[in-house]
Amino acid sequence: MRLAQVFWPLLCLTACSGPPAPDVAVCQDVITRLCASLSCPGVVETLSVGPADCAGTLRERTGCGTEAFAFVEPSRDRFLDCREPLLRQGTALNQLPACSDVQRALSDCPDMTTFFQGATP
Amino acid sequence: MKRVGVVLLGLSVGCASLDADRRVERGPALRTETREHTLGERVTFASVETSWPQLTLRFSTADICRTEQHTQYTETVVTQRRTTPAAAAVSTGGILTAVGGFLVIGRSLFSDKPNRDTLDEDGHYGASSRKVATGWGVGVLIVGVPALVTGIIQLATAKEERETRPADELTALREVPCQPAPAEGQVTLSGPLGPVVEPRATQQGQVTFSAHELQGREWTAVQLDAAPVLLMGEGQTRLELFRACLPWLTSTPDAQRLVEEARLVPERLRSLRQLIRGCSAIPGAPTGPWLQAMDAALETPSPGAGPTPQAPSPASPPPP
Repeated sequence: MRLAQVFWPLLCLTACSGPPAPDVAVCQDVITRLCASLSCPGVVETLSVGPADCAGTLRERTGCGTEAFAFVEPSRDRFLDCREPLLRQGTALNQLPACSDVQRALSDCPDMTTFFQGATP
Repeated sequence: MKRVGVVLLGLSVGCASLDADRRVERGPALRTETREHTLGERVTFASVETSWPQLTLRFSTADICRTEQHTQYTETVVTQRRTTPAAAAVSTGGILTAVGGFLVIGRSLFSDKPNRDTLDEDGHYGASSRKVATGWGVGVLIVGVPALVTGIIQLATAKEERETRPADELTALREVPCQPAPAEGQVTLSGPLGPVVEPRATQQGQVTFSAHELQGREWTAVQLDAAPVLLMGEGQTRLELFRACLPWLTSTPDAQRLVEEARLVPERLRSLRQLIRGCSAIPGAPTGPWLQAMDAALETPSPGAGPTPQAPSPASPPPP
């Protein structure tokens, strides 16, 4: 009883969340995480981007640069599923993913990789 | 949700322990009272009378009368409830309730904008500061309110209760035979090998044995209708004395053997003289000839011969 009383606020804090973020925010969150992981083996080759303007290039390829962006293919749910490995280190924007998680996200989700390569899957 | 909160609060407060110390203080004695009653268990007794050469046993049955002395007094039951944890509970519960209440009531003071620095797996922003404050406030209230209520209840019940009531104590107990009645039956004198004389019927509750019929027989117990009999007063002592004196008083002293005994083992003769002298407690016991013979033997001058302990005792009573 006491234990539940003590941990209830913590459970609430971890379970409570804010409103759904727009698609553009979700897309740019992934772009931020991928571009911060360019030093990981194979990422540059897979995404075909350089370190100079990684985020700008990916936003331009995907259309994530405009506020009106909305997921079509892949869908928002699929994109969120593919994004999960990138959140293993934390959901805050300043927490970068591990290289193994980035490689796994790219290999497990070829549709997302294709999406960032600027081609229709 | 409101009902769930009430149930949780009730369970929390209901599970809190309210310890109490209870002690009894004895007051002054008011009065003493004596109660008598019989147990309804009749026991067979026997009294012993010796008058040489006869041993008379008088049998009777008696109930056991119990006399109880009771002291009545007042006693005060003092109940003290512990108050030690109450202050801590009120203090902790009060602080937590105040903090929780502030967070819940003053939640409008916090920003309602979602935390855009984090984006969870489902694509939601992080909770707003207002939501976080409300969550913490409710959590702290859940802990603080029961503690505060418990502490207040303990403080409210932290008093001393005194209850005075009459009490009774058994201070003395005495059990004595009472309501005697003569007992009739078959009397048996038994030894290790069984009865030593033929069972004899009582007449008007008594039976008499002569020294000569008991001479040379080893008997240790008296039974009435095969049931053991309790000997009253000095009955056991009189019976033992009669039995011990029986071998000597039913025989005549041999002066020559006593002189020989005095010459060989004078200490044993002196011990025997003490026994015979003790037999004088039996009314009519013929101890005179024995005492005179032993005194004469002990006064006979010794020729100076050394003692021979292995020699047979000349002062032993003759066989029956």
